[in-house]
Amino acid sequence: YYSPLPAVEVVSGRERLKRHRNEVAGRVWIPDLWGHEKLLKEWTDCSAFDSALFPNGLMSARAALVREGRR
Amino acid sequence: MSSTCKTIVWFRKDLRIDDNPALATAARDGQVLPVYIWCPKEEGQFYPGRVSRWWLQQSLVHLNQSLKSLGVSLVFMKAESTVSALLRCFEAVGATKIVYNHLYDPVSLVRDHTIKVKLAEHGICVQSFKGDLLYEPWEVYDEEGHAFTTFNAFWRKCVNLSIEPASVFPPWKLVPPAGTVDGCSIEELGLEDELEKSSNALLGKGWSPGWTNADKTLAEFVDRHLIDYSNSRVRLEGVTSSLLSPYLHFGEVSVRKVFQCIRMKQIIWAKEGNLLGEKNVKLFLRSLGLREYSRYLCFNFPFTQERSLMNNLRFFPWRSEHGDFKAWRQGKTGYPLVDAGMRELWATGWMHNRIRVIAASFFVKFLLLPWTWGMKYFWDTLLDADLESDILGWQYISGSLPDGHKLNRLDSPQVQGSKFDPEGEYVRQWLPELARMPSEWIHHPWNAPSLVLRAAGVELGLNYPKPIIDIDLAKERLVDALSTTCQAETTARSANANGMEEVVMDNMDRAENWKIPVVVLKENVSHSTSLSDQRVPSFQNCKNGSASRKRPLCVEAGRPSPNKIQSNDCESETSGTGGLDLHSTAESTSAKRQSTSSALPFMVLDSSLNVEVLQEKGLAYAMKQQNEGTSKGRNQLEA
Repeated sequence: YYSPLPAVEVVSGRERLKRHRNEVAGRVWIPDLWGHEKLLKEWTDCSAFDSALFPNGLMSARAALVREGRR
Repeated sequence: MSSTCKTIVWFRKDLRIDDNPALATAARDGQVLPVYIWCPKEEGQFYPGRVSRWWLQQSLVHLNQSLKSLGVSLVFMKAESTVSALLRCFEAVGATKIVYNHLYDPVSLVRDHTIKVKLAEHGICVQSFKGDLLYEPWEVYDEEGHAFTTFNAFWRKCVNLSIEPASVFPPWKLVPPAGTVDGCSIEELGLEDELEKSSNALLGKGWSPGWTNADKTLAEFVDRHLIDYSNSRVRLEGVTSSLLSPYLHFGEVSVRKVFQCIRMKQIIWAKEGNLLGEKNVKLFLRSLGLREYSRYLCFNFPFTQERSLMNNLRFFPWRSEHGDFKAWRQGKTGYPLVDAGMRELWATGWMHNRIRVIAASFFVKFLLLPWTWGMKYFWDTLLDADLESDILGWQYISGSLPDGHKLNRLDSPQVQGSKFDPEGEYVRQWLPELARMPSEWIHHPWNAPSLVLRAAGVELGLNYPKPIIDIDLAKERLVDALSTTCQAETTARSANANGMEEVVMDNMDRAENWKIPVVVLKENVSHSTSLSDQRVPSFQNCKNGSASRKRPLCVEAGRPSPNKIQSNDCESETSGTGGLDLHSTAESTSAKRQSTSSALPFMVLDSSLNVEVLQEKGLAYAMKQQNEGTSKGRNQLEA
C-alpha cells in the first residue's frame, strides 16, 4: 500500500531556498575577517596558480585519455 | 559477465546512482566495493573551498545511504596518496578491476593517468567512462579538424552531433565482496572544520545536497520553470533559474539525463506548437552547452607556463588594496547591485549568473584588484565552485576570450541595475538600509537629492557607504592601467628580443607548450583513421614562440573608449551551470573578429587583443609543419 498524499507538506528545494533568502536577506553580517587574508599577498603572483594548471605530465595524460577514448 | 568479478568503484564527482556508467558496469560484472578517497594533498591549489566541502559532505552521506539500501556501504578513506589507498582496497578484498568516471581538470587528468599506469603495473584492470559530459572534449571539432574557439560555433556543431542516450539502468542490488577495508567515518575525512560549522549551518537551511534532491530539482524545473526560463535570465530577484549548478558540479545528476528531460519537453512543445517553450528549451540547452564548453576549452587549450590563465593581464598593474577587497567582500562598495550580490553570495552560497558577471567585472575593472583574489573568494564561497566554469567566467569578463567582454568594457552598475533590477527589488531585499529608496535612485543613491535620501533614511557614508570609487575616476584608472599594461608588454618584448638566444634556451619547454592547440585536433583528424595511436604534436619548431608573442596589447587596449559604456543587451545566462555568462557579445564581436582570424583557431589562447601576432605565428608554424611533414617527430613531448 502507499499513501497518495504526504501527511506533511513537502517543500521543494526551490521553495526552501526562497524561504531561506527571505529569512536571512538583510540580516546576515559578513565577518570582518575572511580567514585567508594572509595568503592574499602570495596569490597576487598568479604563477603558483598557473603552474597548478599545468602539472607535470598533463600533456601525456591528455593524450592517453584521448587515445583511449577514441578506441 | 562473470559473477566472481570484484570491482572497485571509485567515486569522485559522480555522486549518484542513476546513469552512472562506472557503477552500472561494476554491478553488472559482479561484486562491488564503492570507495571515496579524500586526499587533500593532491588537490593542491584547488583544494575545495568551505561551502563546496560542506556540500560534498552532505552529498556523500546521502550517497552512502542509497548504496546501503542497495546492499553495500561506501568506504571512506583519508589518504596521503590516492594510489596507495586504492592498492589497500585491492589487497583487502582481492579485487581485480577498478572503474570510475572521467574528470577533465588538469589535476584530475594527471592523477587519473598516473593511477592507470601504476595499477596496470600491478596487473589491475582499469576502466573509465564518460559520466560528466554530453560530448567528450576530443569529439567536437570543425571541418578542418581544429578545435572551436567561440562558443556559438562549438555549440552549433554539438547540437548536430548525435549523443548516445542515457540508457544506463541503475543497479537494483549491489553485492559486496568478502573482506573489509580499513576506512574511516565521514567525519574523520575532515571536510568541515570546527570553525566553519556556524557559517555552514546557514547553507543547510537553503539547500539540500544529494542525488535524489537533484532529481527532484530537475523534475520541478522541467515541469514548472523551464517554460519561463528566458525571463529568469533578466530577473535577479526571486529564484527563477534551474538551481542545478551545484548538483551538476558534483555529478549528483547526470548531464545526459538533464539533456534528455529537456529534449523530451522540446519534442512535446514542438508538437503542440508552443513557440515560447521551444525558445526556452534552446536557451537552457545553451546553458548546458557552456558547461560543456568550459571543459572543452580547458582540455583542448590547456594552460601552460607560456600561456597563463589570464595571459593578456600578465603585465596589468594590479592594486593590492586590502581595504578595497574587504569592502567588495562585505558588500560595502557603495554600488547597490554589487553589494546586494556579495551579500547574497555569503548568505546562500549562490548568486545569479548575471550578478557573478557584475561583481567580478567590478572587482577587476573598477577596483583593479588582483583577479586571483576574487577567484579565490568565489572558490571559497560558491556552492557550485567549479574549476573549468570559473576559469571560463573570469576569462570571459576580462578580455581573454574572443567572444567575451573586452577588457576596456566598463559596465555601469547603475545602468545594469535599471536593466536587470528595474524596480530595485533585488537590492531592497539584500540591502535593507536602502529599502525605502525610490526605484529611480536605488541603483545610484549618490545622485539622489538630499531630500529623497533623508526621506528614505539613507545617510551616505553612515548607514550606506559612498561609492568606493567614482565611475569617471574608475574609467580613467582603467585606461591608465591598460596603457601601463601595454607599455610593460612592449618593454618585455624588446628585452626578450635583445636577449633572444638566451631566452630561447631557457624557454624551450615553454615555447613548446604554448603551441599545443594549433594542431592538436587537426593532427587527430587527419591521421586517426590510419593510425590507432593518438600523437601528441611536436613543438620543436617553435623556438621563436616566446619572443614574437609579446606583441603589445595596444591594438585595442591602448585605445579604450572610456566614455562609451557598452551595454549587454543580448546576454544569455548560465546560472544553471555554474558558469559565467559567455556569449553576451558573441554575436556582435566574435563574428567581426572571426572574419579576420577564423583561419587560426588558437586565437583564443591568447588575448583576443593580439590577433595579428597569432596569425603571423600561426601561419609560420603551419608552413613549417607542412615542410617538415606531419609524420615526423611527434612523440617528443612524451619522451
